[in-house]
Amino acid sequence: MTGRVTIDADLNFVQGLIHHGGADLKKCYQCSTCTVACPLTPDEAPFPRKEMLWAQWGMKDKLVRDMDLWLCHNCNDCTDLCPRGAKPGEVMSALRNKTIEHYSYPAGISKSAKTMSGNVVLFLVPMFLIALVIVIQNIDNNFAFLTAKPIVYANMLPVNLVDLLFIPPALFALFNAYKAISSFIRGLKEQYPPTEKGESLLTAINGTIKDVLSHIEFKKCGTNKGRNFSHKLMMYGFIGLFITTNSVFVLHWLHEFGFDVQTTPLPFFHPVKILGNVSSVAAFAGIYLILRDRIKNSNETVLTLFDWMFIGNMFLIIVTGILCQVFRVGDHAYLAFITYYIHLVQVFYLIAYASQTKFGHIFYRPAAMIYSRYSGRNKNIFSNL
Amino acid sequence: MDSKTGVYICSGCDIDQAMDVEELAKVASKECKVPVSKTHPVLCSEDGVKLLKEDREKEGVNRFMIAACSQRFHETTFDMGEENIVVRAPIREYVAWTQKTRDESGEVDEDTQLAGEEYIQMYTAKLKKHGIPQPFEQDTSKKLLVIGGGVSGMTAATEAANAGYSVDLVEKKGHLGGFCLDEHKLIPSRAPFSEPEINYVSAIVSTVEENKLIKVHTSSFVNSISGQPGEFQVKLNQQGKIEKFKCGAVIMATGSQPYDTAKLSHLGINYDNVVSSAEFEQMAKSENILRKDGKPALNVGFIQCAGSRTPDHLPYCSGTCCMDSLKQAAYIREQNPEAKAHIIYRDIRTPGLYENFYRSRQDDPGVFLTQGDVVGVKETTDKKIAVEVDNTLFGEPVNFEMDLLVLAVGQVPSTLSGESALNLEYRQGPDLPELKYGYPDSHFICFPYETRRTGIYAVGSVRQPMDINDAKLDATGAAMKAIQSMELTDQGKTVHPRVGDQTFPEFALSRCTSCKRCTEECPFGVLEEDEKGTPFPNAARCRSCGVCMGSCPVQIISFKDSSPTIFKEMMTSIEMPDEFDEKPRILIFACENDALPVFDMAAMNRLKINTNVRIMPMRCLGGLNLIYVTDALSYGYDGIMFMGCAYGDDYQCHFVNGSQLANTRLSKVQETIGRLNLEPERVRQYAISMNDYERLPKIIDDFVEELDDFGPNPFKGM
Repeated sequence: MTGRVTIDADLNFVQGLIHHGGADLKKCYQCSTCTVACPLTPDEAPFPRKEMLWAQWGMKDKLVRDMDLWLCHNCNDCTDLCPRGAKPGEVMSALRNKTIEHYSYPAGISKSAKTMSGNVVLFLVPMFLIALVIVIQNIDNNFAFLTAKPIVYANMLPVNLVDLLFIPPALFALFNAYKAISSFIRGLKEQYPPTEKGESLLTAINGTIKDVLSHIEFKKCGTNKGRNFSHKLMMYGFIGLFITTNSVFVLHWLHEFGFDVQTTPLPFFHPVKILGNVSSVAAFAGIYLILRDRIKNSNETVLTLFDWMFIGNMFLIIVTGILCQVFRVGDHAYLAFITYYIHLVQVFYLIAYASQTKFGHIFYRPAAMIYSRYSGRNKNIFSNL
Repeated sequence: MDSKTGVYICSGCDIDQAMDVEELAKVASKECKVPVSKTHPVLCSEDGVKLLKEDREKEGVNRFMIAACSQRFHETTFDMGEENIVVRAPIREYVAWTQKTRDESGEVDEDTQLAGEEYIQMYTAKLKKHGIPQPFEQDTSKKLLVIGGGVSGMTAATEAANAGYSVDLVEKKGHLGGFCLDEHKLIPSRAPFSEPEINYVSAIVSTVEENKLIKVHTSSFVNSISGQPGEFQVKLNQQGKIEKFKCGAVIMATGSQPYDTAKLSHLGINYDNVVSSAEFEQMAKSENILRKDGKPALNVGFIQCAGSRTPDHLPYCSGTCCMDSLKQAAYIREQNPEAKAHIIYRDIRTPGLYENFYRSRQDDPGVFLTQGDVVGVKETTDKKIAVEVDNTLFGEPVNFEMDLLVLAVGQVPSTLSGESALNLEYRQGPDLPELKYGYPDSHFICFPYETRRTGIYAVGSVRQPMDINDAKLDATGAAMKAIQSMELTDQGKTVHPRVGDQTFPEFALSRCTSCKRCTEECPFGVLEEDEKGTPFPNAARCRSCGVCMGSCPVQIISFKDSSPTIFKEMMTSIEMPDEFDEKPRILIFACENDALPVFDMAAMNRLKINTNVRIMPMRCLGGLNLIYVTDALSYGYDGIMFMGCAYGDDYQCHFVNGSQLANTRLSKVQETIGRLNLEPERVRQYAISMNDYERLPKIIDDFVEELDDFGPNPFKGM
């Protein structure tokens, strides 16, 4: 009986998947139209057909170790062509969410991100924490920042304190991501031992960065063609904002240590300011397009709370970020500070729970893409086009 | 009554484009010496038929030869009433449409005209020997006997009763209902076909019991059936008491049994927690889906095609087990939402709207389906059942551990139970002849309800594997066929496929040698025999195929319209062209059911057929008597083609084995031909079917070409 795998169908796992985005997965009858339609799948053991079978049988161990889930870019060509309406694209998406939940460290946060009550708790943490710091900081001067002119957000919450509030959760998130991704990669290694076809780690990383920046996989999508553009806008927007934020951080501390550099609020034509504004416009356009498409396709695609939380979070960050500047320049003190508060809470949520929410794909997907190059799985991905 | 013959030649449908019909009429009156010989531009028109009827009334013509289209057209148009004989010479198909037409100057082709003339001669010769058909007379009963009180039998009884016929329904058990009565639930029978249905068989039982036209005999079986349709003598054994009555037709609805799982030890039937699908049905019915140790069975496996579709067990697919297992999977999920059903199949076969049932089971997260080949079933130490499966979709050999394993087995017809349900007192045996696997033989494509015993219809899962829904349809169809049989028998006519025919074999018994060939070869068991072996026909059992006529070595069997004499008259009615004429003559005997339509089809497509062939229709190639061969060859025909249907496993014969018998007989005559110093290849049988019509001219040309090598038949002109 060597090499005979015992299969124990996991009913709970299947039911969980059905409730979290894979509602139609049982309809699949393994015709393989999806794998034929998929522009990204490798020739050998192609996805999403095998994932559909594993999903139907609740084969969790195979699924969480499956790098193919992350090679899928959710084009939905498969869903479009599925003759039985099993929506493989949605199932893949649900399975990615399941994977994030599976590796989530600490385990509870990801589960919380899937429920309404859990999310309330996750939000209460930054809401309370930030409010507390603001109160402590300003209680003595009777919240003078509200009336001070011009509006300076640092009056409410000095940059030092902002850094103090956000650096620990960022480190926390990085640590959690490290824990999650390292066990994720261990899983991948078990399921797909590296082959001699593989690239060196450095080449793999290099190649993946190029792939991500160029959105080469997105470009092959048929049904969700628009996502190439909107996701690219969004990604570059956020990278720009990430650089902006870190530049401001650097500028601030240079200033603190006595260097003669401009600090916040930056003038309108400061390079960092320009970068920030351009990025936020790009990110806004991106998230707007994504939202629009999602709502337009809401009949076909099933979005769970997990998905909506992520999209909503991104949307609010961008919108509040832009409004902060608008209200500040427009001199609406109350609106400005409330918006800024909301902005901080949203950013906290994004950063602190990065590896446990859907945002976690920024860790999992590159990891899987790098590993696919490293293990040689990617070799025939593009050869059959 | 004096007979007066009239020959009527139609010139419509381009017949006059190929032949000079006036000349044909002259041949009829001069050569054939018929008193009335006329032509008409459109004989099938109102005016044409009026001409025929006027001649019948005024001239006293009572034998009509219609030289026009094939006998397969205008059958009722040219019906001249009882006591009047009509013979059709299809000069449209055999000549006008398949031979050379007039040339540019309007001259007819010599060979074409000759073909027309020869057909006039042949068919007039037939007409002269044609007798007047007589229906048989008997004291008929129109009561239907239904054997078997399951869903099929009850449905057949109800349908017949609803049509006004009284029915005797015989059931072996103490109550009606049959196999399906004990089912927990039934497969869906109506839209949307997605969920199991509450068992409604007991409702059918009450309908039957309340029906005043149906007399139910429970705890009874048929001791014997003798006689023939319309007057079957039935002896019923009701717990030792014999009851006798007469009935007109019999429906055999004795059902099937599940395949014996004892033969499936390789699938673990001897382990504690392996059961057959029938046993599982009862477990579900009592809501006891448990392991043998009493613990709930949370993981239940189904092995589909257990003992089916394999040469070692049942070679066929019963077509029911897939639906049954899906239904049973629904029981598992209904009775325990934590429990899981695993179905390991070779192919899921849920045709038509049954697909909806499959889909709704598949949508259930707790029903797991995989294709695969079961290679081993083992018992683990904790009495679980390990099922080893190869060739699954998982891409690797897998193993499932089940609390309970169900073997989905197929159906075995009750005919294999060892007991006869009919106990026919027929020379050819007490049961319906079987084709394969215990299922009754019939031309199942064209006549699905028929058996090889006229007036006796097998229905439901004893006829072929089927589920309850098909059985209900089947029973309705069979009831209609039984009624048809009783009514036709009452009129003294044959049932299908020569429905309404009133010609029956006649035996010149004074010359009978009691060789028993006819009694043995009759496909329908028509003939009984006395102690000396002299045949005794039961006309109502007969389907008028003529197999007996072909079998008789002394040619004492004949029909009013078909006999060795008639064939001989036909073939010798023409003047055989001598060997220097270079006009060979080839005789084609064409089966009316399969070969004749091919000729009609070829004619409709205006395919040109060799001008030297002459075609004679036969009821069935089974009527081939070897005397035809010697008669034809000694008259100087250069070759003979016998065209009929395919025989063997997938036979096409309307009369089951006619073409097969023809083949056997021909193989015997080859030696005789050799002894006449003739080439045995001059006589050949061809299996042909409708879709061969395009090949027909070539088949014939090839044969004629081969004959050329042999030269003319030396018997010409002798």
